[in-house]
Amino acid sequence: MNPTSSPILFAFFQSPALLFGLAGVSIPILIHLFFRSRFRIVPWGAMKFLLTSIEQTSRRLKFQELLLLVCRCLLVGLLALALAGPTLKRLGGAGTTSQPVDVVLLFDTSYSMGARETTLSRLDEAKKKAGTLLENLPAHSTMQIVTCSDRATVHGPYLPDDLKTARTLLNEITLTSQASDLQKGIAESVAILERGQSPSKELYIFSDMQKPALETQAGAIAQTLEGVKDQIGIRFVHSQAQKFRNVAIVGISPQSPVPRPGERLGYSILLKNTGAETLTDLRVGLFVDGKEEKVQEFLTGKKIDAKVGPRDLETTSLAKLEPGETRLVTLAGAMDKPGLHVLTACVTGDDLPGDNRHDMVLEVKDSVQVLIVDGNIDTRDAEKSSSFYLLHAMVPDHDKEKDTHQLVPKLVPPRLASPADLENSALCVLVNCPLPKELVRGEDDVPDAFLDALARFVRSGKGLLIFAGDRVNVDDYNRLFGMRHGLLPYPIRNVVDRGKEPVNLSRQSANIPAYLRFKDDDTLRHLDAVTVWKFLDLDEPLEKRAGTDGKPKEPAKAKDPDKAKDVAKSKDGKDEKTPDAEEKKDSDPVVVALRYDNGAPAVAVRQVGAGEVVLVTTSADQGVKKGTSEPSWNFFSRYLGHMYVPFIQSTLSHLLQRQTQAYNVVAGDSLVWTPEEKDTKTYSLVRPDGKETRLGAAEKTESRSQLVLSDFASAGVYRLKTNEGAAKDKKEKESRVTSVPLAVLPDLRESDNLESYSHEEIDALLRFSPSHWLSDGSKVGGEQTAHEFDMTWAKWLLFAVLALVFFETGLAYWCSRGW
Amino acid sequence: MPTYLNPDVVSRAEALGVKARTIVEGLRVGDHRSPYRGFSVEFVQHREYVPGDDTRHIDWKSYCRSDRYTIKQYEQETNFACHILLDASRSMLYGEGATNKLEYAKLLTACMSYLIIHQRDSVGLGVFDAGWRTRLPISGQPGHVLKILETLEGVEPRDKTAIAPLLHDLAGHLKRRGLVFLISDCFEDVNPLLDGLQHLRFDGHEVTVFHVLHPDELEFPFDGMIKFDGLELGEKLLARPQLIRNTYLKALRTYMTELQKGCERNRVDYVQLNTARPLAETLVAYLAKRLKFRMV
Repeated sequence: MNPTSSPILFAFFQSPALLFGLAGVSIPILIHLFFRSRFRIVPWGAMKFLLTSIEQTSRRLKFQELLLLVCRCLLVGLLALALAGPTLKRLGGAGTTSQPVDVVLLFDTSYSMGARETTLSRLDEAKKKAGTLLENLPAHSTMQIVTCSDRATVHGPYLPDDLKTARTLLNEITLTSQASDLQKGIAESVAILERGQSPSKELYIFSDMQKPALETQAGAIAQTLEGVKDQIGIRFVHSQAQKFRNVAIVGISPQSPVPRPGERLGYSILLKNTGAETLTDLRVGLFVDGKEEKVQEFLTGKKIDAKVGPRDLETTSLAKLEPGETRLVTLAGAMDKPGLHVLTACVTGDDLPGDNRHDMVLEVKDSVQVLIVDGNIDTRDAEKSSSFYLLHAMVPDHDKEKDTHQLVPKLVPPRLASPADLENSALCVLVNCPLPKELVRGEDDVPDAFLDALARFVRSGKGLLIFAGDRVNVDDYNRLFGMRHGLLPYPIRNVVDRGKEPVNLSRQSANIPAYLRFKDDDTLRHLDAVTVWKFLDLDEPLEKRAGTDGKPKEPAKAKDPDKAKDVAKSKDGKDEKTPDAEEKKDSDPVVVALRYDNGAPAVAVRQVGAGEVVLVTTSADQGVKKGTSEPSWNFFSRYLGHMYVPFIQSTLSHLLQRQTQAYNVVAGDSLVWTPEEKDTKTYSLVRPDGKETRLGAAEKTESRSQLVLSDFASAGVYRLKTNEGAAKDKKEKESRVTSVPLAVLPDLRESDNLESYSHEEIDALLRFSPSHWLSDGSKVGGEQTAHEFDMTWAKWLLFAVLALVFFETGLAYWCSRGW
Repeated sequence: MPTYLNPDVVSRAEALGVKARTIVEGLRVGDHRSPYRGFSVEFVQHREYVPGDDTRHIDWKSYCRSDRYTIKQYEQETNFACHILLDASRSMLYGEGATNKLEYAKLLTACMSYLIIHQRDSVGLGVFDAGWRTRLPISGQPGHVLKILETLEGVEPRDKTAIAPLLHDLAGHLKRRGLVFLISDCFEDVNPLLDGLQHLRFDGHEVTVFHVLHPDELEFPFDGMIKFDGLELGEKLLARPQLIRNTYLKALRTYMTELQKGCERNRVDYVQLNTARPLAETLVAYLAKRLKFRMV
């Protein structure tokens, strides 16, 4: 049956009271029992022949008797059903006067629905199918449209029976860049239907039934639907389950910690083939402050106008990308002026456009001051200072470039470190730095005021990098950085000296985007050769270490904790994030970014407030054994400089970029915008499509004012416009308007696993069988419900009764003949 | 006290009499052929005289013709001894009034006994169920009829039927060839029964089986739901007779055919008695038939 012509069928009884006639089924049984109990007794001599006769016929007679009984019961039952007047209506069919029905259409608007099935995307196919459904609804029916990605949104119409508006709303449904989680949408839809008045209710779920969308909340979905399956007709409308090609841009990583104005810099674009087919001839482009139209042109495969200069766009091609393969593509770009700039990486050549674009907001600075507190400064022989190699790694030609290099390191001994030094710094590095002891205070120790300021410095969004060394006292670090200020990722157990059994760094364990280049770039393979004798043994929870199993985690996804940001509640106070995601972020602020080959953490990263602390468990220099020139801590800084420099650069890059994460957000997340000073500015948000939403003034809390931005459903570049007070004229008004770019990234969880559930698998998950349809209208499975018959029951039941009468008569006559 | 000597039956049967169709060995002179040679009316043969023979029986005419002493022999005629075996098992209880099988059988027994004694033959009675219950010895005295009637009066049905062992037992005890009348419904296995009859026939007795059946047993005319209560073994069976009638009649017919053919094979007279038919009618028909055919 083609559901496009008969989408909704409805069955009911005209005289339900006559269904009590079904009790008449018991009449033949009672008669049977009555006659069995009513007999006369005959004393009989010739039992011999009677027993022989019974022996030959009893089984046949019992079968005949049962058959007759069943026939008679069925006869009465069918007659009662026929009298009750069962009626099957095809709702919306031409000329029918069927009863109204409450319908909720639930659309999965995650961006995997943007995959092209034929000429149309999956969402367009679903909308087309829903349009047909809408046309066939009977009079006085109601419809509500709900969309669902990782949250549910009720689109209306405001008046449920306003089907004309419903059609308009249906056409306005657009894709989001969020991942799908059908549970919330289903719960919302069921709640709407339960409020409905019609006895007939239908829930249509249009989705590609991606596994992640269902499996994480499978229990809750099953529980929700199980409870209402008898009241609500549940129809899963599947997209065509065909395999499609997909490449996702997983991240962009600058090759220098902070881009300088006018400096042409390489950016590593990480591509991953998440589809099931090999991709060929991929075209990758990197826009610097690219115009939206040009980006769209590139994404649609058009050739870019020559006016877009080479400084704004650089492209390359990728011949082949195997399924599951991750590849780094490096493209260069330059930004002329200091300030915030937008990098847009694009790729074309697959079937799913939702994750083909990755925007990133970067801050370009002339210089960045880095405060280095070195606990082992040797004024006579600088090379013996613990920070010597670090300084040279930060500023490679340190002697010549130290005044002109973008990174401006400021080296101070611990005792001279002051809170004032932190004020102008973007980053603080503690190298082999002793901390004050509990009872005895050393002359070289860091002042307490600096430590307090350092904690505030980190929490305000800045970075702290800690290197180990001989002067690092484990107890002091645990006490001050661990317990008092909460800056350590994990408590330190002790300093491990491996002696003759050193460990090596494991580049395969790289677990933050900044380090992925070590994993994927073969020219950096010598990171595995870095030998470490001494390191700080961190008290990492066993389950986390067991989880790694000595192997690295998957490459960082968009929702990795290092990209996490201040996530706030939405305006209406409701938590719009999935509980799982929220919980994950709250409970997992620490990431082990790099490990040794024995599984111990080499680099651990912890979010602290808005900032981040990176603890390197070995020293920044090689360390020297007393009386010898042999390295005591590691074989890294001095002898493997070609690995040490990228390692330091990547680490600094990670920490400095972390500071621009406030401008980068994953679709669906919220962003707390904290104005730098208390003012009377009003804000508005300009979306990628140019629509502007007024946000009003920042909300003032006890200590500061803040603005919560939560409406980031689609990926792209948003702009937060700031209007400074009242202006006299238009010109002045325009001059006062400033805008801050915000990059919204697609939720990459959506395209990470593109497998879809079949209708059998959904049945197994739900533990019952709803109807399943394909978006082209064909039925693929599910229970055969009364809705799917197109016939008049009463007529057929009477036919059945008549047939049974004949059958019963013939059978009775035949049985009475006794054969 | 019911009288089992029905005048109608007796008067109609008396004219025919009960003739022994085989050779019987009686003690007295009677109307029936004897295996022994005697000096009666019917000439049989000549035999050469041997010393010791009674000279009265020398055929002098033959001596004149052949000059040899010959003895003229005549067929000896004797009476017979008839053993009437009456089945008094519980299965004979079926039937109401005159159609009651046991009453019918008693009536037959009494009439036959009277006829036999009346023609100066001897009769004995054996009443049995699973074993011998009563046995009256052979006697030809007129008063023996009274004894038989008294015995019949006292017969009450009980226990189940077991005819075959009794027939073997009877055959072992009978010294002289005579008549055996078995009056029963014969509700037991056919083969052992036929073996018993064959044993009697082997000993030279003339055997007649009076198979007494009630019309209900022959036609199975029941309807509705009926609980059959077994008279002999006590089994109970709830059934719709109309549904099993055909198979019952088929089983009965098979049994009767086997019994009848077995009797024919052993040259045993088989007489089916339907208790619905008047005894006089059936008995006269049977006796008349006996007169026509004489066995050797």
